[in-house]
Amino acid sequence: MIAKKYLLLLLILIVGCEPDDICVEGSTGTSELIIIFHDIDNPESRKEIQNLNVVGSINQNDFESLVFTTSDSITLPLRKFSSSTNYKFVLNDENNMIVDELTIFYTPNDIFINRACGFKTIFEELNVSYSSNWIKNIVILNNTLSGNNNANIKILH
Amino acid sequence: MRILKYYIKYLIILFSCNLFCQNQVKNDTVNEYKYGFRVGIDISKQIRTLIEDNYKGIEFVGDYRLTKNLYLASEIGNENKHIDLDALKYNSSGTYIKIGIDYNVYKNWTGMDNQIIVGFRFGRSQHKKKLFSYNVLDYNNYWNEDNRVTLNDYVEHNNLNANWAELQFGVKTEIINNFFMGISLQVHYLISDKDPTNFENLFIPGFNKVLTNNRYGSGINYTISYRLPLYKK
Repeated sequence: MIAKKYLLLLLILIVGCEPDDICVEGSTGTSELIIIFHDIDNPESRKEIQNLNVVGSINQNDFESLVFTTSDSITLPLRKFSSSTNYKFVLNDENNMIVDELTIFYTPNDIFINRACGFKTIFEELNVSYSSNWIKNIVILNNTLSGNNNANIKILH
Repeated sequence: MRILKYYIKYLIILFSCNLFCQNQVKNDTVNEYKYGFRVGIDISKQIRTLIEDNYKGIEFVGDYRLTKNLYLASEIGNENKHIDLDALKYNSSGTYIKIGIDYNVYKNWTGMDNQIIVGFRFGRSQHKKKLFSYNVLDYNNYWNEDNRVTLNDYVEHNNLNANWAELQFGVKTEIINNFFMGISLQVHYLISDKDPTNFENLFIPGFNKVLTNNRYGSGINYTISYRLPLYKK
C-alpha cells in the first residue's frame, strides 16, 4: 500500500514536470539574402570582390557600413517590416570608389517556429532593381528566401 | 509547479485519513452498496479561476455505478486560458468531454463505500485560439527593428479539436452520508488534433499544456460529489 502511494507520486512527478521552454541556440531564425559574385565575361565562373562596403539606407539615412574583403559570396539582412530594402554597394578598386545602388523588393511573411522561439520572417517574390556602374547584370536564382542556404541572387561584374 | 506541490500535500492527507480515520468494527453481515448517480464539481479548477489571473475554468464530474466495483464515468468542462510569454501572447478556450470507466481496487470494510480508482477515459475537446502578439526571431540586428509584432486584429483560429486517451488514478472517500471527496491524477496521450494554420495547439482545454515533441500530458482533479442513490444491492 505504501509502495503504491510513492509509485503514484513518482509517476505524477515524471509526467507533470516539464522542461523549461528555451529557444535553442541555433534554431533557424529570419533568413538573410545570399549574394554570389560571378564574372560578366565568363558568367559560369565566380569572380571575387576585393574590397566592398555595403551600406543600408532608409530615406537617404545611411546605416553602418558592412565591410567584405576578398569574397565571392556575402549575406545581407533584409528589413522585415517593409516590402523593400535599399543598399549602396561601394566597390573600392585600387584608388577608385564606384557606387551602385541596389533595391530588393519582396513580400515578407511570418512563419511559426515553436512555443519558445515564436515566429521567423521569410521573404517571397524577390525582385531587384539596380544601377549599373560596376554591377553589369543581376540574376535572381531563387525568389524565395527561406533559410536553406542557397544563393538567391547572382551579381555579374 | 507550486500548484502541483499543493495537490500532492492534499493527496497525502487524503491517504492518511483513509488509514487512520476509520474506526469501524468488522462484522459478519453481507455488505450492501448503494447504486445510483454521482455528480460533482472539480474544486481545483474553481480555486485556480480565483487564484490565477489568466485562467477561467469549470469542470463537472459524474459517474454511475454498474457493479460493486465498476462505474461508468464522465467529465465535462470548459477552460479559458490566456498565455503571455516572451515569444507569444495568445488565448486558448473551449469545452471538453471525457467518457470512460472507473474501476475500484479497494476492498471496503463493512458499511464503508470508499474507492481507490483506476480509470480510463477518451477525451475530446472543441476549442479555438486567438493570437495577439508574437516575437520574430532574428539573429541580425542591423536594421534596429523592434521584433515584437502586435497584431491590430488578433488572428483567430476556430473549429479546432483534439482527441486523447487518458489513464486516471484516484481516491474517492465518503466523508458524510452520500457526499464524496475525491482526488485524481491523470496521465493522457494525445491521439490526434487539428492544428491551426501557421500555429500549433499549445494548450488544449481538458488536456492542458501540449509539449513540443511529446504527446503525453498530465492533469489533476480534486472533486466533491454527491450521490443520488437509486437502489441498494
